[in-house]
Amino acid sequence: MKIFSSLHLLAALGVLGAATGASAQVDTSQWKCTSCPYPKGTTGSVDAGLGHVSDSSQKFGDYTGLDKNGAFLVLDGNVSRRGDDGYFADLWGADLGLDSRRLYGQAGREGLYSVNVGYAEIPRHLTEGARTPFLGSGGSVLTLPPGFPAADTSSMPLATTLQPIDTGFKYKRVDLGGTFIGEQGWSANLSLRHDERDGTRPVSGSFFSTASQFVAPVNEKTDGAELTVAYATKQLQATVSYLFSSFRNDDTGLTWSNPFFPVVPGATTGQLGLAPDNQFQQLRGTAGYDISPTIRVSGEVAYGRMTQNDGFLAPTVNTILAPTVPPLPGQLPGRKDRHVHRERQDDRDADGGPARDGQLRPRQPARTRRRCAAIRPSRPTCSSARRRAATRRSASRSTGSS
Amino acid sequence: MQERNQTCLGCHQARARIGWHASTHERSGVACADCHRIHQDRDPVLVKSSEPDVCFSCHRQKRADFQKPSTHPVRFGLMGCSDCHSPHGSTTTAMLNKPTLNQTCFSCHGDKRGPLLWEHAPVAEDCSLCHTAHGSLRNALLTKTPPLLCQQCHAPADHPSVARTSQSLPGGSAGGSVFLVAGGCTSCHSRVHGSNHPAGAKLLR
Repeated sequence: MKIFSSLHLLAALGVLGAATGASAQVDTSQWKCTSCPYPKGTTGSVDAGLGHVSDSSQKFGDYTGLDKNGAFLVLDGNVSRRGDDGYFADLWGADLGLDSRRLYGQAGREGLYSVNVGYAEIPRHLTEGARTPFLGSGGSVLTLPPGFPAADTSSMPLATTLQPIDTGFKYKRVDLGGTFIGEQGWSANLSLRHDERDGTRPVSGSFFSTASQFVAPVNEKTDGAELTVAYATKQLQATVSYLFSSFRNDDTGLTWSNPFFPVVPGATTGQLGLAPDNQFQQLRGTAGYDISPTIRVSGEVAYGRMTQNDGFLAPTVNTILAPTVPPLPGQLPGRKDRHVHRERQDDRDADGGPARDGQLRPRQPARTRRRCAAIRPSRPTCSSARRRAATRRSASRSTGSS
Repeated sequence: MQERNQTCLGCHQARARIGWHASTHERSGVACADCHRIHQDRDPVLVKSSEPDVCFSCHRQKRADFQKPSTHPVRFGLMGCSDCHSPHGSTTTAMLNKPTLNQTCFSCHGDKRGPLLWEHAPVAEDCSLCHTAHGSLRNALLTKTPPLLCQQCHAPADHPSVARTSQSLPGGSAGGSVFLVAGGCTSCHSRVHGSNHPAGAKLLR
């Protein structure tokens, strides 16, 4: 109730100001808000303690970091400082004694600028009690111990070769950013981000009619930067932003030994293609304009480009087939462009009430224009599956974009 | 509600609030103070770990979804709703904070972005054709269990895609358990998000 009372007071003052004239030469220098005293100085709190996990469990530790039995440190805390003239600084941390720790800091001057940093870890545990006969798990080449290959699973020496393995990876994220609020409605924001994933994940591979499950390495990094410039007045608000993101994978392929007698001569090893390095850039603009107090138009235009330039893997690692396969060019110049634009017009009740569905002007469906699959050496993306997917979507969705 | 919001929008109309007018939340009569606490030192909706509870006060189905076995780590405080959504409105469906759904997903899952030599059409089109973002009883947030998921598009015309029953499970009388156990179709077609291998046309490599 106290909040509403304060707002009513502010609203009443606003009405009073409007009633005394559009020029509103109101001296606000002596205004004070007694409902929300501005704290100054340094404050903070720390939560510390010990916890205990009774049993080891990969599933229990997924996202939490509590995968092993035993004691763990409970440590959370925050510290804030509020200075004169709007200067502030905050530091906040949670689960600092676990693999799911997060740390976040922000400092600046209210209404003028701020900078922020962040660090977070996310532990992933993907399997519970998994075992594998493959040697070299976590690397890009998997081999098998003596006794392989075999005619079928029951003939394999699994009793003596299966080794326990935990699959999962740790996700680390570092954020750095800043916001600057300028004069006359201008502001800018810069966000930088670095992501890392290190570990393993389960994967499958097959030779004709036999399939195996094994472990693929995860050594992936993503760097991103986004710069946004915004302009805002009472009638017009607009932003222009540029986004760049770069994904890097330390492993381009995974080679594994065939645990079954090969059907095709020479098929003793196979190779999977892993996610390639890629880049994404996007220029995006959004704007909204109040034509009148009851009519507003808004829209968005975005143009993005995804590229990659990874080298080709060998078409086959079968030493018998390899001499019969023609050589490929050295690199894969792939590019995909995506263009999105949407616009809308919304009407509001003349009495200023919220717009409702039935009062919206016929809204133009979100329209997406895409140019894609500019990939060499062929256009494998235009497959029958794609046509089926498109047919299914058109039946289930009247409008939309991707 | 409108008057209360105007007090805030007088300063906060820029950037993320451009889409507020006639957004889903505004049309539903949501006031700024319904989510924000202006007299608290740390507004709960601006803190990632407590933000979901604010959203869940209305979006109760989503609260249930995030309790499912396969989910994004929202209930652990490692993600917030605003990592994907723009609650003040956007031009996309579901008020996403990126221009498209796929781009929203790729902002974390850059390994799925490509472009790839051999793409899987629904992956390039719309991640939600196979995955649900908020929670699933199946691994990897899948909307259905393979092979049923795959068979929604892949009819028998292109592949021996037989409609299996529980009799095909190991020990059953129908045979074909290889299509149901482990990863189902993905036991062989493991590069289901696309392949960069020259021999990956069928997403086997």
